[in-house]
Amino acid sequence: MALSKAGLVDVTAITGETALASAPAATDELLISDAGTLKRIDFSLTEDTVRHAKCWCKWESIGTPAIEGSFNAASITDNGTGDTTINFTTNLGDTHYAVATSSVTQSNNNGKSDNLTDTAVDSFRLVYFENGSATDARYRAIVFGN
Amino acid sequence: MKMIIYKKDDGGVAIVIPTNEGLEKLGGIDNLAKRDVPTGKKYKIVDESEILSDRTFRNAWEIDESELTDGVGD
Repeated sequence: MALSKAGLVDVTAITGETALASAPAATDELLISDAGTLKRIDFSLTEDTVRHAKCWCKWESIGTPAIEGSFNAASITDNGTGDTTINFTTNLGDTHYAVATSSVTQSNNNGKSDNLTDTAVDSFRLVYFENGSATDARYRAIVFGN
Repeated sequence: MKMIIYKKDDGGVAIVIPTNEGLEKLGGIDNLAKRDVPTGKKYKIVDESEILSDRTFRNAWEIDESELTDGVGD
């Protein structure tokens, strides 16, 4: 790595480095500039201060179930009518995570509810109801947690 | 697209649909099946075209366990 000016990294001159194939380790360090003064910070500290969704998924179970987009979802399990388990690619740190869900109404809004169950570090389960009955629909879920 | 089916405790059928991320990070559908199918459950890897698209009686679907010959969930 070469420096083009005092205290500044010339990104075009970074050579011979190995690109990370996965997320940095918690103890890897990042360099930041504080008014021109270079400082280093453990990657784990940036995770503590910047919260990102741990998982999101958009899928449907109308006709053959299909996943339309996702992050940190290895698969979904179609358990039956309106009943889906989302299986994380990388497990969460604990089960105290929050899940925001939305479902597209299929017939009417009476008795419409998203029932979240079986929250585990490797998955969670969502059952969608309309008029008191499990109903196939289109769904979205976002997970925040550790 | 390939999917994974197994028999649930209540006798019904569960279908595991992989994401591209899952297939890539877990090293293919065999590894994904072993991980995402419940421990001890036999499974079968099938083509999407073999899954019924008419879900009117989805909760009544059944599968003979003797057809689940591709592996067992870890």
